[in-house]
Amino acid sequence: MNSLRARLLAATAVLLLAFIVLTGVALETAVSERADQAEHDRLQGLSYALLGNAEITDDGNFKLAPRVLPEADLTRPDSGLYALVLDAEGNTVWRSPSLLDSIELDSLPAVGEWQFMRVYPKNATLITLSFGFRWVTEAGKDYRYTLVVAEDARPFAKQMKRFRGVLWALLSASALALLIVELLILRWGLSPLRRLARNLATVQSHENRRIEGHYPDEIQPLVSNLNTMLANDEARLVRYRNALGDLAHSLKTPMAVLRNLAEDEHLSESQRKPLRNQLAQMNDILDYQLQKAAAAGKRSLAAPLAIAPVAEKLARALTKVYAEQGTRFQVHIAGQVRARIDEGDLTELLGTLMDNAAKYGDGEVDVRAEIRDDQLYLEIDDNGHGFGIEATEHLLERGVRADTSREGQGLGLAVAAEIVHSYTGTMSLTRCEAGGARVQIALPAE
Amino acid sequence: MRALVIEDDVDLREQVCAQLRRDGFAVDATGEGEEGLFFAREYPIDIAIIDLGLPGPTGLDIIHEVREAGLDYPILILTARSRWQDKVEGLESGADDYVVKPFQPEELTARIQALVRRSRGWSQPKLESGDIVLDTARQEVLVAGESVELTAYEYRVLEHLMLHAGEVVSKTALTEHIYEENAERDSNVIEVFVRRLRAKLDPEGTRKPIETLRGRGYRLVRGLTPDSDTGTGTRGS
Repeated sequence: MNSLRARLLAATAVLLLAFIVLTGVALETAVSERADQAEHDRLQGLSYALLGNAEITDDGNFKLAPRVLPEADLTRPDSGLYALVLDAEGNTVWRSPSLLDSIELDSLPAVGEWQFMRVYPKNATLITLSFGFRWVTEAGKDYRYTLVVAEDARPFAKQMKRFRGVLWALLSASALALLIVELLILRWGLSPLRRLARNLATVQSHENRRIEGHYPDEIQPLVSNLNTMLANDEARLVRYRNALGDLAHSLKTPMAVLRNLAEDEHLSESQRKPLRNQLAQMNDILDYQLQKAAAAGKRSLAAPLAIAPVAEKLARALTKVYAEQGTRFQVHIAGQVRARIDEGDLTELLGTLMDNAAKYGDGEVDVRAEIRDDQLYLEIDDNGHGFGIEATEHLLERGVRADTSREGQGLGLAVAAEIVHSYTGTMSLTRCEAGGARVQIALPAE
Repeated sequence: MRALVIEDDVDLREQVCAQLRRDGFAVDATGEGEEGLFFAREYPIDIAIIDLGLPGPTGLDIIHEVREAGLDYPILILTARSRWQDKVEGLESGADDYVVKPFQPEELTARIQALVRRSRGWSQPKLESGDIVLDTARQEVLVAGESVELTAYEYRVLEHLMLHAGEVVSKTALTEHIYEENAERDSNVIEVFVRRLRAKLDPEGTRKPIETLRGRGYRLVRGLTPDSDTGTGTRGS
């Protein structure tokens, strides 16, 4: 059972059912006992009234005149209220006019004792109260009798049945009502968790890098921990990049010194050349691995980034770098074009490609970006001679340059391709309408 | 031309300084951010080469301060950080170009000379004035097509005068731009350099390329107006 609500609901339902059943049984028992007691008392009262009016002749005849009977029902045949008197042997010595047959009792009470029980003669149920007594006549004769008062149990049972019906109906209704209320309580009680889930989704899909808002005391620690985790995630990435940057700095200065020594005229050309080559190779390896590691790649918590400011910043910087050539960098990107990409990655990607375009083009570089179907499309054009036909696939490989006469690391396109792949995007090299090179990139914007 | 080098690695600093001196620069150098900032603000510098990772104030801090103080000489960043984010940051802070370590010595020279020329309004690596041509890339001086041998100091004086063609340059300014801070100075020496330059550039004494303005300094006769900044030259690498 994976849902908190289902767990709580199931537990509550079982508890509720047990409670309802126990309550029902207890209530029913109590009420039925109370009803029996009332019946017992009524029959006892009747018994006293009958005994009060009874007479015993000296020869032992039990007499009770119909006109002195305390209840009219005792005189009507088959009325449902009966009385009879048995002698010591169990023979009927008197019966009320209402009783047509005799009543069989399994046992008779001792003298002075009351016996309350149900008997079941021929598809009927009778509630009986019997009383054992001795009667001493004035002549000193001693007779042993049992008075039995009985009432038809059917009306009584019917009443109990009705009571039971009402009882269980009410209990079921209240159980149902309680379950519905419980459901609402759970909805309300668990709503902060739903809110948390929504906010987490927002963190994933929007600029927020924190879960905002107040939560109940039980959830707040979780929220705080999540926020700490988000911050740590960010901090760890920054630390990692800084460490790599420091590594590069600490290695590159010594490499620069060695590179300068490689020009030393005291060395022969056969010594200088391998020195230069090895250093260049070291530098390429270092750069490639650094770029790869520094590329943040797709992170689930990254915020959408506006593309235009990054491209414009690069255009300003590159205009300075290419001031000698007077290269013009033009950015055609609407302000609302945003994509989920790390700023360092985007700067690296665009910088590399714009630099390449300036290097191989002829003074004009155009950058365009737009969002279509949740994809960010980037286009970098130059006005040079375009890529060679077979160069296109080849160029994306590491360290290959189409035009080796130009300076540069030759890693540019490979680095760009690496970044694009880390975002599960695609990159293609084509020609633009005017004939220059065009690099097209599609990246998932979300 | 006077260059300032701020680089904390001793070996690299000395290599860069030696290279700059070979290229005809007077060089001041330090490995300290604090001292570098002082030099950058107080010395009459024509170009600064600044390493970004320095103890004390960083290279970026120095560049900010320099631009804040209204100084507009060109600044070249020497950096180990090759990420575009770092390059953009440096260029946005006020630097004019960057060279990523490790670099080819010729590339550094080319970038530095291009920056100096551009800052004076020249867009080509060759400075021309009348029939005098100074090729900064080759450090060669031609007069009417004939190569002329100059000493390092003579070259520096001529380069400075040509970059300021048509302007009056005082002896003090000349001294400041061709000598390093701790060098022995004697403004009379300038007169000697100028006299020798005149003899070499104009042996017949007919064109008189360098005028003397009594009490104010010297002026190279403007034979060719410097180009506008948007030239068509290549980056020279």
